[in-house]
Amino acid sequence: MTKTTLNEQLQRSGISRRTFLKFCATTASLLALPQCAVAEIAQALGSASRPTVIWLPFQECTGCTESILRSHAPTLESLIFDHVSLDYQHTIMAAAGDQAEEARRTAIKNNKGKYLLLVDGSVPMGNPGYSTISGISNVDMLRESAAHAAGVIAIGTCASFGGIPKANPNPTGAVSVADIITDKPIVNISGCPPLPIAITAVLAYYLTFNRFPDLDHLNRPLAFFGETIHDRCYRRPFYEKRMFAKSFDDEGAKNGWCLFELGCKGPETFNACATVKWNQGTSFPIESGHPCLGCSEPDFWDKGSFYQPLFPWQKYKAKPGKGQQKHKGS
Amino acid sequence: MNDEIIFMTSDASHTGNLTPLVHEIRHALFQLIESGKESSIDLRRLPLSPQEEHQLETFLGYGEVKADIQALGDTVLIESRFSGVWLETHYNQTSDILGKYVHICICPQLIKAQHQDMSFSLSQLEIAVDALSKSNESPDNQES
Amino acid sequence: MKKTENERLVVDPITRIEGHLRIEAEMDGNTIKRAYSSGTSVRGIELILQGRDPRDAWAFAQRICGVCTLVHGMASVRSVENTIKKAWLSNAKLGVKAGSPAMTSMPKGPMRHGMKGHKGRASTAKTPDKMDIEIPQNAQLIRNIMIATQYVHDHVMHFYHLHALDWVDVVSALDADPVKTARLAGTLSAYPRSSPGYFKDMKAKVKRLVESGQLGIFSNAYWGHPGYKLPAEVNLMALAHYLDALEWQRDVVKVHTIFGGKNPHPNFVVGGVPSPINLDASTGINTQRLVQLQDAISQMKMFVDEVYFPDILAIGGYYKDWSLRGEGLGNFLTYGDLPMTSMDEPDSFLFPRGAILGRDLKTIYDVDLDEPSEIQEFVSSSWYRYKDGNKNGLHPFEGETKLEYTGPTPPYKHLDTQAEYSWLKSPRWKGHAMEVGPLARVLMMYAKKNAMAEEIVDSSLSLLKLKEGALFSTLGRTLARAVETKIVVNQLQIWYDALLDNIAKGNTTTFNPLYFDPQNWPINGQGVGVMEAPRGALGHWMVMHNGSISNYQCVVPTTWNAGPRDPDLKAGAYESALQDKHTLYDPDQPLEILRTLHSFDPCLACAVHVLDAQGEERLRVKVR
Repeated sequence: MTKTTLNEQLQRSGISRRTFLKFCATTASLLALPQCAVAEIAQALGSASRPTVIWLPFQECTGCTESILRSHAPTLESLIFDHVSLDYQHTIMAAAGDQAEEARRTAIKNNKGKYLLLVDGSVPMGNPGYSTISGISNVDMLRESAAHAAGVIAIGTCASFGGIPKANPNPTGAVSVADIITDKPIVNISGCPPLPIAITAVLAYYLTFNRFPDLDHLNRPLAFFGETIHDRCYRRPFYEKRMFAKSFDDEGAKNGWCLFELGCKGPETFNACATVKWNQGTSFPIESGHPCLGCSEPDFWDKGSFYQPLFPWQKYKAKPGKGQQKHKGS
Repeated sequence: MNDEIIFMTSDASHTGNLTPLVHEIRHALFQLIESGKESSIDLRRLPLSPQEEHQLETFLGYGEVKADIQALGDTVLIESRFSGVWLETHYNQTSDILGKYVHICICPQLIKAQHQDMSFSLSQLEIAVDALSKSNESPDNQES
Repeated sequence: MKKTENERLVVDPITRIEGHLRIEAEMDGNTIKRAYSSGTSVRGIELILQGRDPRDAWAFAQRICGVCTLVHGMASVRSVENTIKKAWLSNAKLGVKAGSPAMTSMPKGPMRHGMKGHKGRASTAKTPDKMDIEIPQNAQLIRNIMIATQYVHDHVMHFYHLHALDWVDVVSALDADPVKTARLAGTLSAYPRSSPGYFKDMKAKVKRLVESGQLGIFSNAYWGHPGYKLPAEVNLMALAHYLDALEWQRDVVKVHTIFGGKNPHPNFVVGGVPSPINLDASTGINTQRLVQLQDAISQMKMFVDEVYFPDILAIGGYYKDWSLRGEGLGNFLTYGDLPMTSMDEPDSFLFPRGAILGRDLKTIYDVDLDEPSEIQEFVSSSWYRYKDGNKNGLHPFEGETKLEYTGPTPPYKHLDTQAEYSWLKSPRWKGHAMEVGPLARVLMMYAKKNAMAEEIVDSSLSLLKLKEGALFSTLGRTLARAVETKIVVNQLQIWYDALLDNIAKGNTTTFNPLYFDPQNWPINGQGVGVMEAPRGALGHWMVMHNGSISNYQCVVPTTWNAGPRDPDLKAGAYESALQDKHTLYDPDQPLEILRTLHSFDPCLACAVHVLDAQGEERLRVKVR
């Protein structure tokens, strides 16, 4: 049984090439790639063989897996995820125990240098017994599985930056994936949990170009983490006019005014929630009345109360020039 | 890549991006006629205020062609009143907008039949022709 | 290595659960003689909660689990509200007027004062003048709607995506006749996706998957095991529903997104809910949102009535022998939940509170959550150390735990099951090991003569030609999960209608600011927030001092169920269930173990926790 290409896979699933092109176009748009890249994406992605993906869960709550499952369906957005070969993933795989571990080892052996390693959850360094799978400590399993991976994607704030297990006083000595794996390309898709589309888009990019997209200084894809929530928040006009909700359910809250004074961390949080929104664009925290927690930033659990405003207000005022920049043409 | 961060300023009714955009469209159409070079403008990377978006749609107007494509969600393709200038909007299955483009070309890629799909269709067609022929040979045969 | 360790069966990782679970079993031939359940991962979230602002606590607690998202956030908010309200009520009783120096509340048990030098507020805590101390009814209704959505979503997803592969043979679906499958589906319900064409496409999909050679999540499993009893057509239908459910679940969580901003991990607030109601605004809960909510509710009801529940009965019919095993304790516990009015009025709960012992449905014991001798946690088999020794149990208000890993250094082949072997503690109620979860709730409702529960249980058992005793089993637990889903989904519409009714009458309040203002908090207080999470009885016990959390303990459903042996060597629910007549056809393919464990719907991230009341961390590693 040979590995099929993505093109063949899609065809057999009854997904036309036309649909696939639509996917490539919208993905390019999401990844801030120019339209001339669409043909290239279609070509490269189409002929990619179904890549093997191994998912390792460490000190996690499974929210990141659940986030992906919220888009997991034959939707355009999840097209790519449906077509990777997810050979090891605790939450949904059929095999257990020895058979599960065998599946992981086989996947690594048969795809040396080519598989992608996805990790959610932090890794405890205080004692190897703090977190084990099949009697193997998380750190050993991570090193063993990363050794032959083509690249590593750290999913969620825990894997990217340590997350909640690392919050003061960090009882188990939790660290991020990047603290342990230093010799492989790593992408951090942070968020608690992350927007699922960021994961699928990064996968699509990787399959097309055989590398990860442009990253920021924290190794997060710029396409999704290049702007703050504040930059794109639909309540921004209220911020500018100093119209703030002072309490939940007060007049300001009921009229959708800015939540800065209720502690919104939007001005310091890089993520795409304000544009992409959650659960097929239904809403996002601010739109549903709660200030942004800042969950895609390192150590956001230890940056003070979620209801403590980020004063001084003036620090986040729109600056002329930066705020008024125009499109220069492609 | 030509990404700039555009703030949503307190005056959300005017980004000023509309005029350069229509100039660009004009330039692109000229290029298409002169050298056959096709181009696309991704409107999602170029923020326009709701008023400006409406102005753009009014400006482009309607030509003779409208295509409704079903591909894991709708895609609506409209020829503008300027032949060669098309407006394409992609939706997903829950009607959220996934992409919006202005294409300057002879025929947008998505309307064209794709070679791969045609090859697959040929094999399907052969099976279907076969079945039809068989059922026409013996009228008593009931095919499900 | 002891001789018995060589004979012990090990299954690790248990997959298709949340978190990290390991089972070791002493075998007698192919039959399980003694089972040991171990949680193999710890994070320490309660320790992390110390010193935090109580209003932030829900956000931390929520990350205990992303599968049962919402439940810990909800319990946390309730624990804070309970603490504050108790203080107000006790002040009112003592005749303390507003503005006078705060009285401490009257807790049972010793107060905790473990603070890490936190200054806190020295202000006088006022008792509200108006005694308007209730959480607004709209907030209660919205919370109920969100909880119910979680139930329905969680239970349906659990059956199809976590449990079903134990009963459904994916590869066998390749032999199914799509026309026969359609006929079968048609007899079960009016669900529209039941045409022969639909099943033909589904079969083709499975065929492609198998032929591609890359089975992905279906690889290396137990297909062809003689334990699979379903005809090919039922397998194909179940598989189609597996995929349908994946689509459906994505849409119904929008209830959480609308009220809480996102799913997983929607947002909450102490004192109410954060989403305001305003029919006239383009934001908040307006007409458009109310329509979206009704759509989601209708979708939920349709899927439960037309797909999930019929499938349970159809599949259950082929596995009636699983009504003979999988329940070894006979003891069941519920805290109760889903109030029409408030958490202080258990009579208004949909799920009643109580305890059942020895499978005796005629005697229901009362449960007192504050009484130190009732609920206690033991650590005799766990990797923690109590300062007064590990033989005694501690009530959560007095909870103290220090991490002490005494297990084998990884990589290891076996745990020492005669000593400490888990990161889970052993909760006990009056010394008894208890099962919590859908079976406990359904039995409680049935015993208390809830009409809907009686009707659905009786008709289901009659359809399956089983007697009441069949409930005490793996199959019974699986059926109970479906029964309570049906009850909850009907209730969902009632709460929604009540919310609409309030709005129509002009009542749009969703938040009580008195709870949110530290000026109104007691200097010292403690309280418990409980809820019935999908997996069972959940409680957060909180102690507050000078405006910060000084102690926080979670006793969660999976700790009750998956906890290890106590000092009297009484096994926990999982262990007892596995010890109840489980013979493995092939010990190398532990399908039978998975069937029973999955019937509990394990959630291990919830079950493990670490707390150090002194705010110190002491680690001792014993190397063997």
